[in-house]
Amino acid sequence: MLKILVVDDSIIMRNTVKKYITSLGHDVVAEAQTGVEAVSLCKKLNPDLLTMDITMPDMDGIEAVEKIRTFDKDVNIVMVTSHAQKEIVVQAIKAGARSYMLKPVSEDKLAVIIGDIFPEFKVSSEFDDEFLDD
Amino acid sequence: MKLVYKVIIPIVIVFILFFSILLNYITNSQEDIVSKFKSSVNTLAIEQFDKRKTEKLSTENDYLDFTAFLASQIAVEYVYNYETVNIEAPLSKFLSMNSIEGILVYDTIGKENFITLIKDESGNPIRVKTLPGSFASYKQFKKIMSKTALGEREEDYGYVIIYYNEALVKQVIEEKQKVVMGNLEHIKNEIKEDMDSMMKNQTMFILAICIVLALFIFYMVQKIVLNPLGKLKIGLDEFFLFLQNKKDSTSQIQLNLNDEFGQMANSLNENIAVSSRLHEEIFELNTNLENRVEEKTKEVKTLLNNTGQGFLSFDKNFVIDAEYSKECSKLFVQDIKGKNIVDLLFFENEEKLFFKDVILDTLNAKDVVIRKSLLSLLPSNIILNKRALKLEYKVLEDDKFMLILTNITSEIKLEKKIKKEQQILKMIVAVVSDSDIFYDIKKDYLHFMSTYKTIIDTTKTPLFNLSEVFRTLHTIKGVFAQLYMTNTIDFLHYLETQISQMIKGNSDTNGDLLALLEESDFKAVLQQDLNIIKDILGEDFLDSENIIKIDLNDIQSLQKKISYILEQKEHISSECKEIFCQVQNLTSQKLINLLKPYIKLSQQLSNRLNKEIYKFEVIGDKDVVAPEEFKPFIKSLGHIFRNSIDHGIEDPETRVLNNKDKTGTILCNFEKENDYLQIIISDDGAGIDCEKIKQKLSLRDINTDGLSNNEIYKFIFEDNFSTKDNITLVSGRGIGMSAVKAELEKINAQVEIQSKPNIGTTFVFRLPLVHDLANNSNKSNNEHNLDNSFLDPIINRSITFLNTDLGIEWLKEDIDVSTPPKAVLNKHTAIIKTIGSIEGIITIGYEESLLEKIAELFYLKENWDDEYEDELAKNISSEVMNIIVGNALVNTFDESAITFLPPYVLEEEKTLEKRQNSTMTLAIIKTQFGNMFVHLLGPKKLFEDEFKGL
Repeated sequence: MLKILVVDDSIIMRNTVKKYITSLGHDVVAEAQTGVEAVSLCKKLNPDLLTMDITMPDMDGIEAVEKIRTFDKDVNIVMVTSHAQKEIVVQAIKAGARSYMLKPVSEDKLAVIIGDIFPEFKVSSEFDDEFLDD
Repeated sequence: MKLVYKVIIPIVIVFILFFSILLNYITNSQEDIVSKFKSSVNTLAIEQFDKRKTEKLSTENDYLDFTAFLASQIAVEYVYNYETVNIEAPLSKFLSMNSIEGILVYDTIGKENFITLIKDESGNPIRVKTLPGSFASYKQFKKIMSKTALGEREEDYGYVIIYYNEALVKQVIEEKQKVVMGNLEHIKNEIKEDMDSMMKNQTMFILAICIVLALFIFYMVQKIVLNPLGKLKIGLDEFFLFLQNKKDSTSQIQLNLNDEFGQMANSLNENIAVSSRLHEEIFELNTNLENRVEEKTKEVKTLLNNTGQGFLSFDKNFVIDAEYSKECSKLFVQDIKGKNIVDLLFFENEEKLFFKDVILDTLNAKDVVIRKSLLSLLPSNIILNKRALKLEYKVLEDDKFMLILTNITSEIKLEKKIKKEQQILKMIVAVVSDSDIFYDIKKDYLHFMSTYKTIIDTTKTPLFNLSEVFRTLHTIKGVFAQLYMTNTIDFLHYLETQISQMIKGNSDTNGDLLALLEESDFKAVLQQDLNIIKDILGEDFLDSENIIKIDLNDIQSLQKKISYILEQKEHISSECKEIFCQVQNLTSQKLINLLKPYIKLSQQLSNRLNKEIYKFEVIGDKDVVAPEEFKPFIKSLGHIFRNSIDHGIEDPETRVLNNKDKTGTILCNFEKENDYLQIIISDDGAGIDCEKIKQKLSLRDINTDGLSNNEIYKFIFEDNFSTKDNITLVSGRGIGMSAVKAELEKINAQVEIQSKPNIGTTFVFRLPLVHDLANNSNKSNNEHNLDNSFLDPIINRSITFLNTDLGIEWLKEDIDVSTPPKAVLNKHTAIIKTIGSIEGIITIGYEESLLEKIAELFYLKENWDDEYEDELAKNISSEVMNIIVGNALVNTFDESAITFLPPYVLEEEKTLEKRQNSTMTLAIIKTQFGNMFVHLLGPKKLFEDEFKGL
């Protein structure tokens, strides 16, 4: 049961991600609409994972990542990005993010990312490279 | 320089030096001695000589002095006697002495030279008057001549002078001296020579000795030291060469000595032996390893090079390593060793920089998750040299990357093709499931095509018209989109685009719109999609516009009602019969439709068996109905087609060899006569091989003498009859034809087989038609018996009941179906009777153990033994019967045409004998708990007496 902080300036996105997170059995410990909020909530609540949108009004995702990294080296940050932003993802990773998800986010994508970062939550999918039954 | 020389040469040199010095010294000292000796001898000799000379001279002097005296004595006499002539002779004697040169006698009395004698050249004395001048140099010995006369005193009568050539004497002496000296010298020289030669000899000797010594030393050193050393060296050299793998083997050092060298050799030999062995072992191991590595490398290389995938690796400077798979050369169209991967893959600067950036970041990040994320950002597909390549990246140890390139051009092409096929499939599915929509939109589309001119209202603005047309087309397109009819969709989309451009461009005439619509071939585009549909679903589908779907239940209930009404009536008018027939025909299928599937089946079969046949049509009256009872038979006709294609039609090569058309022909047609229905299936294949059949039959001990060909052919319908040697998926088991025969018999049909070798085979089936459907329903009691069409549903439902509902394992062997001569019904067998259009008896019985188990599972209780009672058993048996029969048969036969009476359960065993004209079928279902028995008996009235009172 992971504690996850959802960061996105769009309420629709947040709700969608929240829905998937709860569906996978984890806990949405808080939501943030802006980078600033994200930083402070992260400091306060110390979550296991952050989902971070890149384009946000006051402070964009990358800056937020940088700020968070100044006080928390361990928290796992997953960037949420649309397709055309490859260079930005690289920047984000350089700044301290660990992984990313492409929009539109789906429950499967989220499950895979969580499984990558936290092996204990790894799930098998329809297209694993092993047959589970005969 | 060899040790030998190094040792020997100095020694020798030293020796030589030493000895030469020695020699020198000796020689010198000897020479000294000699010269000393020489000089002393010299001196001595000279002294002696001088002494002698002096002595001689003095002696000579003395002598001469004496001689002078003598002479004087002699001369006096003569002088006294004044004998000048006789004096000459005795004085001349004195001149015989060498050194005496002259004598002078002086007479004092006479005061004159009495005589002067000198020597002439030849040495003879001669008298002279005066002395030559040279006599001045001569020594003179003067002696006074004195005589003593008797009694008188001595008187000097004169003097005598002997002239003495002292020089001559000296000369002589000196000459003698010289001679002696010369002799001395000579002796000295001889001595010297002797000495010298002695020296030489000595020297030689010593030298010789030295040399010998040296040689000896040399030899000794050689033998004792150098040889062994040399051998040791050689041995060691060999050994080391061996160790260095420059030599293949080494031998022991052969040094059989007892001294230190020998010991050294021995210990070295031990080491050599051990090392040698070890070395060989290592060498072998090494060789083995190398071989294995080589093999493995070769295997890996072969694998790599044959995967058809490009494998390469590059370092953090993006330089490609030397080892890469062969495919890379092909994909990059060049040798890539040492080149820069970034330049090879990308052309845009941006792409290059991005790639480099991500790769370097990945290297720096050691976190697996981050690496995965970063690598997923790298391009996974590129187009390179006209190929579509999939790229996969892997991080290797020591900061390298592996890139795997896979040529997916064909996959992509295949994907496109598959997508296209999926589209087609979607289209077919949509068209079939929403066929109403399909037919409607087809109509609308064609309608638009023929009426667009009228849509375009010339009184309205072009903009209005454009919008109208756009909307219409858009709507139509939407529906086609629902049906996935891509060609039409694309075409309409194109029109839309053109129109919207016209709208944007503020076209001011309707002319453009008209032109656009006119030049577009609506029909052709739709036809493309329709052709695809036709290919898959058949022409009929497209023509089935006028077909509507009706629920079968609706029709069947209509049929039942009519049937029921007619049953009540005593007399049925012909019109009523007709109506009934028509209604019956609604649910009956047309014969031609039942035969049509065989067209496709034949095509598929022929493809599978690599044979070619023309696509055939089923020829016959489209309206002929296929009676229900014929359906099973018609279904079995597949075997005939199979047979024709498998056995009959030969493969194309054989056909050509036999001067036949490469493509075979199959015909299928039917005809309805008054009394019978005739179905003909024929092929132009190889014909039935009579001989083969006869052979097979004789193997089975069946006599074929006297049988006509036709009769022989009929044997192919026998069970398990096959002239095939092995069983294929398609045929060969020998079952197919016998199934056909079974069906034939059921409907009382006949078959005639015509066959000619190499020409072909024809099957003519004659199916007797049973008339009067109206009567049939009345006659159903007699004519319709419970048959196997009942049995299957019951069996299936029973199995489902056991398996699924209760979880009892059904032993999956064949269900035993038989026609026993009597039915033995167990205690607690449930019996159900049917009345209505079919009247018969169904019984379901169990072995006791099975019934117990069923009871247990049914009521979910255990240990029934105590409570197990007949009542319970009866209840259960009855329940089960209801479940099974009710479910099984309600779908097969409509309820009101057949009614099931409530089941009756036997309290004790009962046996029913088969009656004449009755049917009795038994099916045994085996489970792990016991058997279940299903009997079908019919017609009911034949068994009525048995069940009196039930």
